[in-house]
Amino acid sequence: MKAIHFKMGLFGLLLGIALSSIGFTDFGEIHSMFKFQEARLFLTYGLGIGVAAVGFLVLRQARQMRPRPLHRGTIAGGLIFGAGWAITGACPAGALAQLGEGRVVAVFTVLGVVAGAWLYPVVHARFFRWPMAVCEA
Amino acid sequence: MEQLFTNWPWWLGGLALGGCAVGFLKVTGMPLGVSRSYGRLADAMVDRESAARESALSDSEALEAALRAATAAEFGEAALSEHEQASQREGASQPQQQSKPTGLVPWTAHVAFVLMVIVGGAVTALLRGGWKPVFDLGPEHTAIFGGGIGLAVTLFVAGTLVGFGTRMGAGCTSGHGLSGCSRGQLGSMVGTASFFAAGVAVSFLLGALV
Repeated sequence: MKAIHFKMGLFGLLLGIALSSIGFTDFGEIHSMFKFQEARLFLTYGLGIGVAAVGFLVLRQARQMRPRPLHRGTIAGGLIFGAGWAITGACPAGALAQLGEGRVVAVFTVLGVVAGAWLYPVVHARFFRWPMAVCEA
Repeated sequence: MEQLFTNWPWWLGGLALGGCAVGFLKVTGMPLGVSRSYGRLADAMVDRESAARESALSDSEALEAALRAATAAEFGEAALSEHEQASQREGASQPQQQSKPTGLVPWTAHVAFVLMVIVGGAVTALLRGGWKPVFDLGPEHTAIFGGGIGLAVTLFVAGTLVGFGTRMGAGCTSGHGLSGCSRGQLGSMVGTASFFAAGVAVSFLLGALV
């Protein structure tokens, strides 16, 4: 165990608590966001991006992160992820927090996300001719 | 206590999500991005498999015999004995140690991160008054997808879409949204618009089907 394990573990804990307390793990809340019945999660997410923008500027750390240009998988990948999100009510982190809350069936979502993350490079190497983009986040 | 950790108002939730993104970067030096952790986990599983294959091959005497036979068939026994005499004169060269890729945190740190997101969900359930296992994703989900084996298959397949799509698009709600849109990155803004568009379309489709 190194310091990075504790640092990432700490923020994993905070993110899990935040996602569950917000309701980003609740299919009903996600579904009503996507159907424009509730603005709360849209506002939450928008403010989150705004707070991050201000924070990165204040810390002057925006430049140390790599750029995230448009690439050939951006739109197709986004559409595929969005479809899975609407069905599971879980983004990649949300699936983990769902499982932690005791929603046992979310284990199938988590296993599916791992399987998909394993599968993509295989499919990419076989069918796609462009360089694979990496999530440097 | 239960109300304190349920459906936070948007200003509190936004501060928490933004705070996580900024704090994660400040403390770890990396931008927050959860789909990357899944990618590292999946890659680590594949690397372990290939490492196991390699060690099995290098330990095997059968491999050496097979290589000798193949070499003799291709170039003749004379070439093989000539090569062996030459390599005995020079001394066998040691295989070079492969260098590890640098600049990546160990994949086990991503394991710690992923496990602690799970713990975070559990802590929230405890703070709400008690953790208890449930076998659905709530009444709205059950009304659309039902339960049992069908639910498990549905979640696994749709989870695969999440993993595949976030890796193809190189980002998810945290990496593209919180860490990318906040810096005005074009790829992240288009990616975020794409996954929200698909989420809206599929949700309305599900509503129409049920």
